[in-house]
Amino acid sequence: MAAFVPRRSYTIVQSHPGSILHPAAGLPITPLGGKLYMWRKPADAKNPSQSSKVPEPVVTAPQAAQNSAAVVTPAPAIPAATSNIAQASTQASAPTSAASYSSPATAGNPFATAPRANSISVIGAGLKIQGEITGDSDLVIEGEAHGRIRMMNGRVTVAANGRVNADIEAVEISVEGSVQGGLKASDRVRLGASSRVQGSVMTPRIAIEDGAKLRGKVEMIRAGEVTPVSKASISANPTSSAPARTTQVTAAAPAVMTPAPTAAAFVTPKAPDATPANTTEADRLKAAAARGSGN
Amino acid sequence: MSWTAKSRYGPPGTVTTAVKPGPKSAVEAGGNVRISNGLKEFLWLTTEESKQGRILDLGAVFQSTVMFFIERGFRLSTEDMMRSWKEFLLAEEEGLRKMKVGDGGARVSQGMLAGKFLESNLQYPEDNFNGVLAWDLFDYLDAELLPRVMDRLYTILRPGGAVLASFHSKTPERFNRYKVVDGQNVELIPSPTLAVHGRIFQNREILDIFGKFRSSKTFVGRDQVREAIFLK
Repeated sequence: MAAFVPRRSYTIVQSHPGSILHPAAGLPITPLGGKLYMWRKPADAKNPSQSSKVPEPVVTAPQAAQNSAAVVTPAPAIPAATSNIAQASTQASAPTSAASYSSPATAGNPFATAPRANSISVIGAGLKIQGEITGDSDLVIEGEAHGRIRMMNGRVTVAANGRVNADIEAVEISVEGSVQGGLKASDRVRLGASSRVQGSVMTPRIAIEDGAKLRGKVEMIRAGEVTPVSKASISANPTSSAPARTTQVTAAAPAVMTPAPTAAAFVTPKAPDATPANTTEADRLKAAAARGSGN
Repeated sequence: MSWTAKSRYGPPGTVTTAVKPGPKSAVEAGGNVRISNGLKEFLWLTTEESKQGRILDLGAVFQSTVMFFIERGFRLSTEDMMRSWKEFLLAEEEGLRKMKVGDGGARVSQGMLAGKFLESNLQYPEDNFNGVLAWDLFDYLDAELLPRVMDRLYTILRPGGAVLASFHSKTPERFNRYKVVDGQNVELIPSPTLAVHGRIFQNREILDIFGKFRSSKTFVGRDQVREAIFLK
């Protein structure tokens, strides 16, 4: 088609006699008459890096099947021995679940889409898992999970239809469904409007939407004492062991809170301070009473 | 009268604008925020200088309420008692509906329901809390449940602990949830009715309800809602 013909000027130069080579692939092509020629682009229009590189078909890694039911996609770096989800995926998931994460086609291909630093594992709707779930990836629960969940370097999301009867430990915990158990996050907890949580919440930051139902205790732990786990460190050392456990320190102690990254909805509690500038109204009244000035 | 007729007979240069009849809603007028002197007194009573106070909020959980107490060093526990009671009653009703005739469902009484409800609710250690927030709660509780709840609250409160409760002086127009705005202001959040308003308690009756407690202070707001603080 004429629309695809590049409008470039080519010059015919004589190569060494006896062979006509394709400029890129080096393959012999049809000889022209008694003399041998080759096609060559002008030097100014030629990218030297392209001429020496053989184009390969770009193979992209398939996206994690997040929305498919009963599909559990393991993170590529999770050791199979420690990830019960990974074992479950081989039984319950479709053949396309995650085998291509370590596919040879993508292994040494610079054009292949690199896997994310924290891939997402999904416990799909209709799937029920009982036991301990550990790992470093993010976890989305649309089904049911009973037991214990520890994603010390990842985020746990309980979807609107998800039901969890377990203690959850993660960097971030977001709940839209039902959780019966303690939530312990080293970064933040978000309780959506449709969430139902029965258990204690321990986190440096919490966001509670109107309509959330929480029955339990809320304790603010100090973010500074929790080993910060960045996404970069996860990708650099994906098989590292779990970070140090969070220390249950309530906000009454003078604390230096990690500043909230971006989310305005999350509120980091101000560290209560004994200085007069930060004392509460009741403290001021008490101080006034102690001075004998009355209230 | 048509619009043309209005403009013809009206004074020149005047523009008539449509005004909705009726008074402005409370939300438009002032954000539905009321002053709570009871909260101010409650904070005064529950703030300890050396220890972190524990507060039990028996209302709905709100971000601002949680952060208000957390930032002041309290440990907050929440238990939406009205919702729990309603869900409990619905579950019991559903169970009775599924029960076969003659299985003893007719023997269920209000006292039995109240006892069963408290087997799974308000389960806390003794002397655990410095204060309990109970806005807009006791007016709605069942007559059998109310004294049992009072006994339980007395048990879980520390000596010297305070209960902040509110009582209506007239039948409320709507059911509200209470959200703490600051040290002496709370915002009323209109919510779907979870229970029928039971009765209007007289002051003497309120003292009888808190029989084991000792009275501290009572405040009456402009909306005629009485806030009472009782101490263990």
